[in-house]
Amino acid sequence: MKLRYEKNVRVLTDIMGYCHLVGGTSFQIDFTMKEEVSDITIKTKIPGLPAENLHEIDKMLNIPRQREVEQYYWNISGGEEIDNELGLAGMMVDEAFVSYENDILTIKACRYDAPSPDFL
Amino acid sequence: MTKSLRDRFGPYQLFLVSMFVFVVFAFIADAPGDVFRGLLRIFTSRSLLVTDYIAVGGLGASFLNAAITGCFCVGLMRISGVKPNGSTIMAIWLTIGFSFFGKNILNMSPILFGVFLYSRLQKEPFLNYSLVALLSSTLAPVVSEFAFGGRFSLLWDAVFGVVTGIVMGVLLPIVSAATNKVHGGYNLYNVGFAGGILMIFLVALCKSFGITVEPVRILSEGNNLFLAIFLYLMMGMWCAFALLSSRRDQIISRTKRIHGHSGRLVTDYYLMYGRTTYLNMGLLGILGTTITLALGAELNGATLAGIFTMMGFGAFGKHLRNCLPVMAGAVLFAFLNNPAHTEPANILAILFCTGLAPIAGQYGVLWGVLAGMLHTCIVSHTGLLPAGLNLYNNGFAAGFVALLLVPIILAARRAKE
Repeated sequence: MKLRYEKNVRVLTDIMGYCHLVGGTSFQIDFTMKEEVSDITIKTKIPGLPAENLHEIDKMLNIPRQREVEQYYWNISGGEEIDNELGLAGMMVDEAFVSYENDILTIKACRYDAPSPDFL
Repeated sequence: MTKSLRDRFGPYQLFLVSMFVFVVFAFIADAPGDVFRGLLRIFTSRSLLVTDYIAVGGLGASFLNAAITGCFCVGLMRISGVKPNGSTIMAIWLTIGFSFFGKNILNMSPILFGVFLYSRLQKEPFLNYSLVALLSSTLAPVVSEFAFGGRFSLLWDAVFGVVTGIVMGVLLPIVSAATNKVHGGYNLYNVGFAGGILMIFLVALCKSFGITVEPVRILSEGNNLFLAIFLYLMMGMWCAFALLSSRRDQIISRTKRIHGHSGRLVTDYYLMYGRTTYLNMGLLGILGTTITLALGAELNGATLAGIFTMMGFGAFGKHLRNCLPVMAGAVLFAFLNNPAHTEPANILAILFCTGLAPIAGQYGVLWGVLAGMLHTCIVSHTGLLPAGLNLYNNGFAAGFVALLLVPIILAARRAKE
């Protein structure tokens, strides 16, 4: 996987951008790159997060990974703006776990970096 | 409706149904002999911007060419293992649309092979580059122009065309990844921007060695009734696919949510809202067709490319709410500027300016109108430098508009804070 670190940072930035948009101001980040998987965990305190937002985060981050989209669009830069619709992050993540307890939103995103088994 | 029947409404299946309709219309329009002779003329044409395949090969041949290209694209995506998503739906419709206006499997193939070669050089699966591969056919005229331009012998022309196409296919993924950073996702036609930049260098290089590219302007007329029937049928079909494959309450709520997005790259409606997206695509196609007819313009290969592009991006960023302001700006400028508003350059700008729809979606109607006006103003100039070798010239122009306008919008917003 080329540009593995850079792409992980992009996912991290997008998720943080969304969390900030819905009220998060303080973040705890755990970012680990192992041989075949990268784990990103973000915790942020957001009092009274609507269930609708929680559902949206879960849905967006669990969109099936789109490697062809990731390869082409991953480095789109918004200049002064951070993408806050989670569209690209969702396509770059294999699986995500979202929970919300005691006003703490926890998002864990995993990216598997093993070569694609697809033909060609 | 049973689940199994609903499952048949996957995009690839619907593409094949649509391509069958294209073939039926091909043989309604012309006799089989004329269709195949026309197809040969299309394959051997220079295919530069502006070459309307309907004028070159006839209605039947251009419909068959579009069907062949569409099936080829679907096959390529299936073989590469690409699961249907908004970006592939967009790229396939874009390619089908431009099969009326400069693309055929002959002039696309060397460029696709170049992208494949690049994926091998990068030691990555072609799957990762399949999207950019489809879009890279914006440079298809490079192959046709050099292969059929009559500069050297038949063999050397062919070699020159194919080799140049392969080299462009290798370079385009690199350049298009870089241009993504320039407009921040506000130009939906990023490959057009990258292709335009590449072509400026290629044209200058060729000129340095005495090889010039003569402009072409071939456009068909008088097919409005036939093409309008075809377009409304096609758009109606995709709307019907949406209505048949989702529940009514789902369609209403999802359509509302689609219209809530700015549309900025990367917004994949198909992945988010499933087959309701087909309705959005159909509606955008109807809008493009109706505006073209309402302005009294000709439906031809060029406008078909614009309409199918709008339709394709209905799965990947465009909707009525973000398209209408930019189109209104383009129409306004078309009435104000020198050439008549029905001039092809103006009509194409009105259809293709929707590549800037995310500006309206993100910053509001007024900025959207201004984006449409600026796009129509600049697009006829941006076509000169790439000399017609970049089919997505409107994407090239839209890149400059986004590059200029977005920083101004952000500065204006900062000043207000």
